[in-house]
Amino acid sequence: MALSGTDCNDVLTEIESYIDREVDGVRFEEIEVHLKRCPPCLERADFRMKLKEIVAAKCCSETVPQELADRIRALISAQGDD
Amino acid sequence: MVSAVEKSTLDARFERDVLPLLPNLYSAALRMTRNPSDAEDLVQETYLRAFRGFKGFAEGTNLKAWIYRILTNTYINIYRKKQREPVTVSGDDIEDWYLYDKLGESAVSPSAEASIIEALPEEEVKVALESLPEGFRLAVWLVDVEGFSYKEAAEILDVPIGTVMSRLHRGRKSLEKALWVTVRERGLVRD
Repeated sequence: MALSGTDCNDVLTEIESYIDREVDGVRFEEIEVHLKRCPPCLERADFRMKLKEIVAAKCCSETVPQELADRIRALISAQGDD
Repeated sequence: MVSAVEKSTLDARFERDVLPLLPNLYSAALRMTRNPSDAEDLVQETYLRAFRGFKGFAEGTNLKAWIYRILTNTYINIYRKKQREPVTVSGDDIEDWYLYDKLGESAVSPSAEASIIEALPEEEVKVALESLPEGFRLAVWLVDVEGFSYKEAAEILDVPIGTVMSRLHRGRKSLEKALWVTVRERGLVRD
């Protein structure tokens, strides 16, 4: 399949850079056009994107121990008084 | 010399801009050290170094990337000595689209594939991420969780952009494999 000079293989090879917004504007558009017309590639791209979102959402919610926050504040104000 | 007025402005700016990053830095430190007590020490040392170096930080440049670089350097200098890892793990043996294909083979409909991963408890996703070799883990953390660009991640880790991309690619594959193991263990798919 060749759409906008991009076949499925090209698009899938670059899909990570596309999802990470690391391809230039022209290339981004080309990949978008391909994805709109190619359900199998779109499905894979969606999966990749959701996976990235899920990992981000599930890995970042750590509660900072209050004692650590206090310790850092104390440390900084002590340093500040030097 | 910094005047008293300048100094109090600097201190206030540090409190305003750098302290709120504590939850991010603590989470990152946990993923790096894989141990709450080491993570606390790492974050504390990072803040100390950041505070001392804050004068040299140019306002308007990327503060988050700057402090992450301090965190990463501190981690590498202090903690990596303790826990050397074999560098033999490459991730190259894992197929692209590993998880997508595995889920597909288990007759999961494409629309449901992501929801199986979504159903995993946070703790298990964290454990999967922590199972990655350090270089992969940091690249995945910086780009996927913290949303840094490849260029920023390259600066933080002090490696070329191509290295970030390669670690990211192999790290994601390794993460997919670890997630698949978890999915299987929890019986979320039929064999």
